[in-house]
Amino acid sequence: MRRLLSRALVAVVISAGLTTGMVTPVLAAPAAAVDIAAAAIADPLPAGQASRTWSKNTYIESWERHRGRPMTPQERRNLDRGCIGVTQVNLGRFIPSNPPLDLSFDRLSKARRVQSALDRILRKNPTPAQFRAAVRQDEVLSTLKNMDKVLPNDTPSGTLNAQIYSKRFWSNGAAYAPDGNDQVDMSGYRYQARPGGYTNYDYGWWDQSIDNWWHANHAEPGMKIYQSTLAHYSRPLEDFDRQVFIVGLARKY
Amino acid sequence: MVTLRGVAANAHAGAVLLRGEHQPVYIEGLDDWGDSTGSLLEVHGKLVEIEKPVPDVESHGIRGQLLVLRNARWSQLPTE
Repeated sequence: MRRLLSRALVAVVISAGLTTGMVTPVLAAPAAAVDIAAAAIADPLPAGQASRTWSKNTYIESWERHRGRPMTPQERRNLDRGCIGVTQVNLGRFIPSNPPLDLSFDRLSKARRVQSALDRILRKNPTPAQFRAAVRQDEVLSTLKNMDKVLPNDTPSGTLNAQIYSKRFWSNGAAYAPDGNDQVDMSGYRYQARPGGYTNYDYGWWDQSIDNWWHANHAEPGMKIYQSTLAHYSRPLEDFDRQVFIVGLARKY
Repeated sequence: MVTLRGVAANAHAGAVLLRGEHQPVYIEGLDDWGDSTGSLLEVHGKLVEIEKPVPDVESHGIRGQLLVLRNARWSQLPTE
């Protein structure tokens, strides 16, 4: 389904930051010259279809129709990194950062509760101090680790929302076990593949408007993009023995 | 041409033949074993080594050397 949206014209993409420990991931400011935008990047997969393969160019065309603006050269370079690029671009984050793993959970249902709690606070456009206070008082968020790493820095919090993505990876013998709050400590993770010729990981960005997950085969050259059901994205593969569901902040568009 | 025995399994980059502690062998052109997943197979084809560069360690893909079986034909073996 398509719908009309009107959006502001912003001439230049500027940088803004969210503090994440020592790293400052960069969020893209909205950059759009828009008359008409598609409601979603794609229609949902029809019932019974587990996955659809997209060429990168076709994906970019659909993404641009949805966003109502061209994908910037920087976003295209980010996309070229494979599944991690698909998630980065949809989160509005730029190279050299990676999608944050601070709020990783064993179960999607917990990630959804965290997302809802974060969005409830962000809708009030709190200052960083108000955000921290709201987190301390929140039944779900107050029990989590790393909440200090997701606080907005110089980005107006009202311009952000919480999104969910997943990561499949090889544990290399580490437990990556959820704690009592279902949170998984990913601080020791180093992007290493299972030895012997396997893919290092697979990120899937959850497009909640269509309930499909966007991921990829690998980085360029030869990159393909997949639109999949959760069951297909999460199907048993030799490469991966762990999967987490992650909540990260993105700039609204 | 080689003949290999192993277990049919699925990897992110495609169907593989697992042979104990040996490196997995990718079956060129086959995404998934489907109903044959987990079966003991005898696979015949041309074994080649392919180098798969990844731009940087944090980009998505396979790093290093892959074993690929081209023009593969296979048959299912009785379960041992």
